[in-house]
Amino acid sequence: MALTKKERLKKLSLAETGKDYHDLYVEVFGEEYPETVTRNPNEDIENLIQAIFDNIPVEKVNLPKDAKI
Amino acid sequence: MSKILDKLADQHEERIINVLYRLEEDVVREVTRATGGQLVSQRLAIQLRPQIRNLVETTFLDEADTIINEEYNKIAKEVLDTFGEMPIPKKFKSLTEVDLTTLNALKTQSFSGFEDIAERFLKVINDEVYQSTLAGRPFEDMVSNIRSHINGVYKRSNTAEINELVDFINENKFDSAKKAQVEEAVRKLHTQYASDRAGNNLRRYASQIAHDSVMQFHGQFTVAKAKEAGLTHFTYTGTLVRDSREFCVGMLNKTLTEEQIRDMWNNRSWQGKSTGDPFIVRGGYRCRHTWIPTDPSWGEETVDELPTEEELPPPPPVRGVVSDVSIGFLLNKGLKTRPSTAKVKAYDEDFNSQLTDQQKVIVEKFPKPTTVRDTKSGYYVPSTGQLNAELNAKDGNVKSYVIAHEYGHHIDYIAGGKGEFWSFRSKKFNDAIKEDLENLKGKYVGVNYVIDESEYKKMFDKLAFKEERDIYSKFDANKIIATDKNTILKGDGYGEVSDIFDALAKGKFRRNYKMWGHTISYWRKKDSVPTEIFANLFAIRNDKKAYAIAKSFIPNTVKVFEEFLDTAERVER
Repeated sequence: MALTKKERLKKLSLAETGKDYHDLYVEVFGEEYPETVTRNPNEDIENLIQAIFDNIPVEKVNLPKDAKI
Repeated sequence: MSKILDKLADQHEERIINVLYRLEEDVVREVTRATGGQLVSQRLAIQLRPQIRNLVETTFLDEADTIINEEYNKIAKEVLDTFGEMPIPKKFKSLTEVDLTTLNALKTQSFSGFEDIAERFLKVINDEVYQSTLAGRPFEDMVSNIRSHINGVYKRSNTAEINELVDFINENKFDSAKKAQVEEAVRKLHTQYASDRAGNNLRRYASQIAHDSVMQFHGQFTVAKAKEAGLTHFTYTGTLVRDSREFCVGMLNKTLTEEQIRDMWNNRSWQGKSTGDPFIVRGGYRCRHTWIPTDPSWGEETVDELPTEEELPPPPPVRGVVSDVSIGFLLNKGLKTRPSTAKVKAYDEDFNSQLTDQQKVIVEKFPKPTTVRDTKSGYYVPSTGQLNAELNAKDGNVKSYVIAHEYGHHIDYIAGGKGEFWSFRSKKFNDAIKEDLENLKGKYVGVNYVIDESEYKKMFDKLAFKEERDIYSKFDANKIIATDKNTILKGDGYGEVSDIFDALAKGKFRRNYKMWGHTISYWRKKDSVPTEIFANLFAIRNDKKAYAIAKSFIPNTVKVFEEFLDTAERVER
């Protein structure tokens, strides 16, 4: 069952490690945080928090299939 | 600095701020009582001086004295605790009689700092009262000015809104989670008292002294103990904040000899540097860093992460022996918009700065990509030969060698032939990766080698540290929606080193430890691990420090990589 906004924000406030945030993303959206073509974890976590807060999943960035990041 | 020092400095600052409010009220009450709320006469102004002095001594200086006598022993204990963990003879770990004499002298010295500032502002307050009689200044104005001299814009006001702002700032000043709100409140407060913004006041100096006094006391006692123990190396320790000085950012975790530190002190300048002994004043006013003694012979835990000369790769040939290479002319090739000449030049300069001469030779020997794009996202597409990499890219506050990284993919692909990457096809390279992986602490779970958590933690500490930040709403730039501890890399190219470790961890370093790397799904691709390790080694080959760290945990892989470079350099094309 989908989390309510209150539940999402409560869990978000308790998250601390990268694992906490990524696991919560999976719990909220039912899928792993997608490829965004950045290696920078801080950008990822910021996107991820905003996504959970607004309940809008992060859009995957599509690259050519053979692309090396 | 240590959490204990951090806490003590904040607590003392808070206590001094609180006592200044008491002083403000006491002084105003005394002046009002003596004058009956009327304009002061010159005679009365002079008669008031002993009373005002008495108030300063019994509030501000008494509190300073209490803090120093009761609390500074905790600083000494913190120093002894630090020495207690060091592999030095026991006699240097305890408090000696000489230490007690030193501590008392240091306490007296600390108190004199508070006395000096008290004396200075006592004169300012007395002058204010006296000048009011000469200028015929209204009583209310004089009282307001006295409050300003003591607490500046944080003085008590007749306006409830201002008092609420002041209360909010005082209550949350040391709460890092409310940093943004406090800054906003301070901004509003300064707007209310626009005319006082540049004014100096007792609070400003006293709170700074309360803070710096803790750090200076710690610094002086630490150096005294270090000399007693014969330790001559010191590591610059602490954490970084948003407005850390450039000096502190550059020095963090570096270990130097006393001679090097003093030499640097005499030959460098930076914003906020204060005069005095480098071990005492450190980065400058309100600096939260400390020099902690160490000895390079103690091993990894206490030695600077700067690699020793033996660990360093052989120095690259002097630049200039090999001509710089150019790929800037490929920027936007195939697009209608052409880059400026300056952009082409800047791109080539950035690229060449990321390469050793050997790599430049290799770049010239291999066919170049079909097109290059300066984009925020870096990637290389082998099927089309398109290389995307950002000019002057950064990983937070440190350099990212992304152009060399993507070019590494290109070289790897061209060298591989048959539509595959060399790093993927080379059994020797993949065997070396496997061997290096198995040399990390861990165990096999099925066919996968699972790295022990202790290795993750060790690698994280080697490459990065955490810093608190606020996350703002995407839809409202002023709305804070969460507070997060983000990752700050300690050196140039450490993002690439992190990516190598993440390859061995198959994305767990990035996902669980907020480190640079790739998604778990990316690592599932059959050739992603060797190709990314290759590209990252190619990227950091010209950075001694980053390369040495990589070599420390994947020595076999590095060896095969270097054999590849040597072969590629000699290849006839």
